Amino acid sequence: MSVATTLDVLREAMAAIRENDLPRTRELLHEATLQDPRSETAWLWLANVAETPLEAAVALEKVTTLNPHNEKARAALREIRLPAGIAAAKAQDVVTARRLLRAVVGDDPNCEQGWFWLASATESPHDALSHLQKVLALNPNNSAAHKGVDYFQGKIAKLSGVVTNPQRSAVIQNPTTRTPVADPFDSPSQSSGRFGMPTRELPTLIVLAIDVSRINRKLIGLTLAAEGFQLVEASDAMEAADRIREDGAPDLIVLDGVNPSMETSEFCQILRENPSTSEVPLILLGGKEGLIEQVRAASCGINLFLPKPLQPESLVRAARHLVRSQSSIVG
Amino acid sequence: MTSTLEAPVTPPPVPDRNTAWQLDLILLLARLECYREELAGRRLLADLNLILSVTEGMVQLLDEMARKTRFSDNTGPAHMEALAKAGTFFGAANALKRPVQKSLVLSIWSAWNGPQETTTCRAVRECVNAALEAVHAYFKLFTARFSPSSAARGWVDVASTFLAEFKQQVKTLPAS
Repeated sequence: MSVATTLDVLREAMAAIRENDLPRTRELLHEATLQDPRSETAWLWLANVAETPLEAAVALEKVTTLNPHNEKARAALREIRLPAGIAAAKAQDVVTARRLLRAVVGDDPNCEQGWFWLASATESPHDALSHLQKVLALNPNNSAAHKGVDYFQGKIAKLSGVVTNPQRSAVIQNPTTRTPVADPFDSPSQSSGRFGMPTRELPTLIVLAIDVSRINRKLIGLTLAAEGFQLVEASDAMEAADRIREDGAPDLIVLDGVNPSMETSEFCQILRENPSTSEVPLILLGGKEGLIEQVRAASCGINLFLPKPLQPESLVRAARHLVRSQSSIVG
Repeated sequence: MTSTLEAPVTPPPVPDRNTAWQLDLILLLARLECYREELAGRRLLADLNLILSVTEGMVQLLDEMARKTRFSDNTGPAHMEALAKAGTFFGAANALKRPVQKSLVLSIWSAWNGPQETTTCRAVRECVNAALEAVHAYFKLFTARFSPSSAARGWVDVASTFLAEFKQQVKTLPAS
């Protein structure tokens, strides 16, 4: 298997699906699964673009063989196994039909259709008869099953007492053991867990990030961590005021332009009137209405306006400059 | 005689490979967050087109980032997984755009859900879930580029938060 080649094929498949070219996507995914039959995600993807239930079921079976713990694939397989099994039986692919339909009746012993079509795909007349009798037990009015019972009883009679030993060609598949791949995102840390912010020995600077989005606050912290800043977070102006009261003035404040609890200009004015925060550099991260925000920012004591989305390099440069000079209005 | 002493010019520090990569990822995540914020307050059926456009934008952004980045050979499986997840997402999104009766794709997707929503609703939610899975797969790929892996801690912290919030958002998107 060449990883590079499979990657190229998957890239092509990606381009094809973007173009909504399903036949080409299928063709490429078949190629990818031939090149790398152990690629669970390629099989799963193939199942999702399959043309027929049978094709989808076969792909999903591969997925569940590769990863028996893939519950989503198992659930999807349960859903389409019956139509796929019937399609296989109609196509006289009895091996596939048997495999799928046995699983159907294994999951749901009251599935009349499952037993009926399994009877049609069973090698042994004894088994077929037994399956049809189950159909009739579930639905005594099933005339096709009655006909089938008559047919198989006749067939068994013709065998004139020869004891058959239906050796089922059950294929026991050894589920391939997957190499567990460590997923660093399995347990999202909620605070300063095992993936806590890289800490410095002695953080000497504090940045107060005020943004309703926890992700944006953390991005500000991560961007400035390398500059020696330790992050203090607040989701709005009111919480920010609490933080300042509790922890003292920060060395830098970065606030989002959209503030749900207080007008940005009002908040900045309060900061500027408070002796402990009057000199703290303020950076405003603006929204789409950048120009308006910029004008307002200059008038209410904001040192620097930066547009959104956050440009980390600009923030680093700004923080270096502002904290060093502590006062200049860059605007 | 007076000599003019020029102020020493300090060249800007050149970020190391991990730092530069982290800055790229911060920018990426900031953009993804802008997309995610657009999903706030949306409804699965009424805002279907917007939801599809936002999630497609997210996955496209990640795909572009992966395309322009050079990865080491040992990230091949992670890269394949990311491509497959993204492809699965685009397949589901395309299926939702087709104005035909319930397709096989939709029936597979809808099979993955509980019984309380309509098929289309479930399919939309699962399509967004597919986007989430694609995002997750690309994040894993991007994490693998840090060396040593401990250098990824800060990125993983923020990215995990993003995934958790996105997941919660997908779960709670109202049907109508």
